[in-house]
Amino acid sequence: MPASDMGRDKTWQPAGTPVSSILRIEATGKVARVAKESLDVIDQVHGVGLSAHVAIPIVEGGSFSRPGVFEYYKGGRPVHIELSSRSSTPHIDFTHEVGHFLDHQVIGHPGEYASRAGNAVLSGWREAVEATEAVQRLSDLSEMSRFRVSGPGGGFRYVPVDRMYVRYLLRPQELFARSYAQLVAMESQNADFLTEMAILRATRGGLIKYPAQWRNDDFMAIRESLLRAIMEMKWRK
Amino acid sequence: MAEMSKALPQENAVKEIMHRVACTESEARFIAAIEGGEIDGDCIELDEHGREIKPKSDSLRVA
Repeated sequence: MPASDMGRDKTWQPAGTPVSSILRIEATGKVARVAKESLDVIDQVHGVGLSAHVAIPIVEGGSFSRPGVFEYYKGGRPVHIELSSRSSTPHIDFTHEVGHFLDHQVIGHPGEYASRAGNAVLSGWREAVEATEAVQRLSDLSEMSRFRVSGPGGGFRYVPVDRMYVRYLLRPQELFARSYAQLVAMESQNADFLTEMAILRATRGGLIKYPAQWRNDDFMAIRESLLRAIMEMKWRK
Repeated sequence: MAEMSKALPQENAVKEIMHRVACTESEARFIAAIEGGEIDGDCIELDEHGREIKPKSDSLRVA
């Protein structure tokens, strides 16, 4: 079956352990609600096969500057996922952290990021991500010291590129987590996810666009590669 | 009071970054925390005592 049909024909079903069963909600209030809603959506998109044997808590934490966190010990043992109640895009932020957790604990060897370790099941994803316009633009920005943006009076001004931030965005595990959250949004077509994705992808005049998320057309090859990996890992049947 | 006096420089730093590198407020908050050495990202590695391990700056290279 072409990967492009995998998300639309609904002949598939999530397979194996539901993601919600390996994440334990210990937060309360808004964070608990967002985590529950997000896990319900993720469970409709995929399971985690039969290999998952970890379970970690979801707690309220993070901060305004870092709304979501995935924490683990140096030896690889996972601690928890944190989500801030002040996040402006909470479903995407939470799902991004779930992406880190799956990458670090469920795909490949537990305790190392499969995306960074060169795990074969993600080789198609790696190629697809590197070929996208968004990542090519980030790579270009990582080599630039200044960038021209429109000024408030209609002219232009040159501003320095924050290359440390760009290099952070280009880390394999960050590319994976952002890919994963966008895949869940696209596959589920959930209104909260799509609204938040639109906020994250909005462009504003006078600013450098650091394309953390992908345009829909730029994302299609990533989507296909991730759906192939999901089938290969038997997260769907 | 202490919280307020700490919050003000942070808000000023966010505004300065928004202007300097022409980014959104949420990006500036994240960049301010990275530049301030408070965080290395949204994945936190802990030592055996539960303390955050802050990678050296060269760990920011693209793997």
